[in-house]
Amino acid sequence: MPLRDEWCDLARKLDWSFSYTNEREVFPPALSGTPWLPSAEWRDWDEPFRSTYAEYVSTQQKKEVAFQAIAEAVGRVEDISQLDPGWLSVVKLHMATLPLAEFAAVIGNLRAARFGRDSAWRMTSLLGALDELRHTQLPLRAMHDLVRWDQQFEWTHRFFHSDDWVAVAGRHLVDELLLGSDAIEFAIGTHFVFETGFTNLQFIGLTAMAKQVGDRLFEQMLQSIQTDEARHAQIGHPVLKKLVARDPERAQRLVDKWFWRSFRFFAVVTGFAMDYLTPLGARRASFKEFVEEWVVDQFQSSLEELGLKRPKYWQEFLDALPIYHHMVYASAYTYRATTWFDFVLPGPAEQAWLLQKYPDTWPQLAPVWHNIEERWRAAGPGLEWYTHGTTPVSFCNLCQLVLCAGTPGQNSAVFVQKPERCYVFCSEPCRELFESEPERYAGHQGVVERILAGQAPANLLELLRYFGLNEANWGRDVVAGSYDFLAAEGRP
Amino acid sequence: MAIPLYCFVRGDTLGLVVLAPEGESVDQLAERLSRAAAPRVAPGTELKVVHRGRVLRGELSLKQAGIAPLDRVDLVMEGNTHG
Repeated sequence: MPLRDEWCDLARKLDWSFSYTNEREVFPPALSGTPWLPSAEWRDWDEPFRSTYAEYVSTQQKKEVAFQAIAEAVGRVEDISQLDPGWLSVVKLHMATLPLAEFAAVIGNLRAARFGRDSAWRMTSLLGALDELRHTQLPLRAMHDLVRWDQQFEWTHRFFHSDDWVAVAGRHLVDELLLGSDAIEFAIGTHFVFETGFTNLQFIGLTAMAKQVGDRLFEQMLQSIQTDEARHAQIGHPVLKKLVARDPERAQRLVDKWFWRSFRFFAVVTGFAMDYLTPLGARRASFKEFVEEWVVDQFQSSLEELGLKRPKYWQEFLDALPIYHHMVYASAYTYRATTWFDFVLPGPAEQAWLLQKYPDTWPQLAPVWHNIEERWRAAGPGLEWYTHGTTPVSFCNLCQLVLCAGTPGQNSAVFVQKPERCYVFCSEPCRELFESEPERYAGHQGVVERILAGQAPANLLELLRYFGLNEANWGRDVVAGSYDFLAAEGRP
Repeated sequence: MAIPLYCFVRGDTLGLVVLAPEGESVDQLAERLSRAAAPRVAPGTELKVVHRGRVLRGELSLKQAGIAPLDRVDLVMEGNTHG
């Protein structure tokens, strides 16, 4: 046996008996999670990487050097400014939603590094926390130099500190998943569902697109991050396996909840990127096709392997997959000044591609885009406001995203009257999740609640300022409506 | 007094929040919603406001129609010029 294997577990599996306190005090259920099992039950916990700290540091150092070289070679303003403007919006969207969420994941991992029930789990979580710190720093460092060229890149740091509606929704998810979860829920929600189930969309799908558009910085960053994620995501499987054995109902409920919430997040962030912002020539597959390959097939087989059923909201997920992100994108396009990145108007070629990829749902969206085109034609290039909404929009009291579920023919918003107030949800799964843990969600002040309480302005221009936006950084059409196809007479 | 309403325009992609005076007529509310959704939905020639499953008479005020704060109101437009 190699020497490394002889001593590795002496360091990794180092648990001991307590003499002056008891196990339940050291690992309280509120932080360690439930079902609370004695340590002997966790003794067989293991994951395949079994990294030591020395190995970790050595590997990470090499990755840092490689990334630094790439950033210096192809990450300058001169390089990034050559990229397609739609793709730059992909970068701005991801760079804003990524780093400070990763920083919250540092805390979630550190909680598990202290309150996880087995020493090997705690060790892997400690390395996971260091990974997430790296994933915070990489985008902040890479985007920093671009701010002097384009102020929208400042949102890499500013986003989670703002009260922009996307940030309010992002924080609602991140605060619960990464900051408010006990070690068991964190392992299942973050490592198993979010990282194992969904992040391949980013690491495989978006990386391929980055390569196609020639964005080597983004490609290398995602690949570098992926190697970390692949290691610490392994924490989820053995925790879930134990939970399935001891409390299968809770295991299923956590998977159900985080599957739905993760889907909503990725539908917006990745759906926008894959089906709208990436230039047509660089698209490898549609968002739906990527999800079918990496989530429907692969995640489903992981669940079957563990003896779990499909997530409870599977049918709602399948129904939403070909339309939800289209509803959100069309809405966001006409409220683009409320974000920090620019939007692309899908032209005839893009719409033909979307029709081919979404034959059942795109015809329902086409009239909306036709109307937007007609208004651009009427206004002419540069007059952004004629294709922009001014009335405040409504948000789901669970996911905090705009009420965009259902179809243009029938919005699926659900209203629930409680003694204290009326709540509104974009969909049945969001309603059900809220009502299963009302104490967790009811106190949250969404954008509409803030407007009604007088904490945020109802006037859109003032609301933009409240969101932290101004003329220099708010979202626009990428070419200010100056598309050749709009200049042509009517529809092609 | 203005009351906040959750509004959905048939053919639109999102829900809106509209502050409408209680004394405003249902027809005026319909016009207000049509304008609010205009970037995405072409205006129609015939506008119907639906509240709790009933089509409301246009001349009624919101108060007379029984519309309360944070109620859901749907606008159905026919005869749209685009799409």
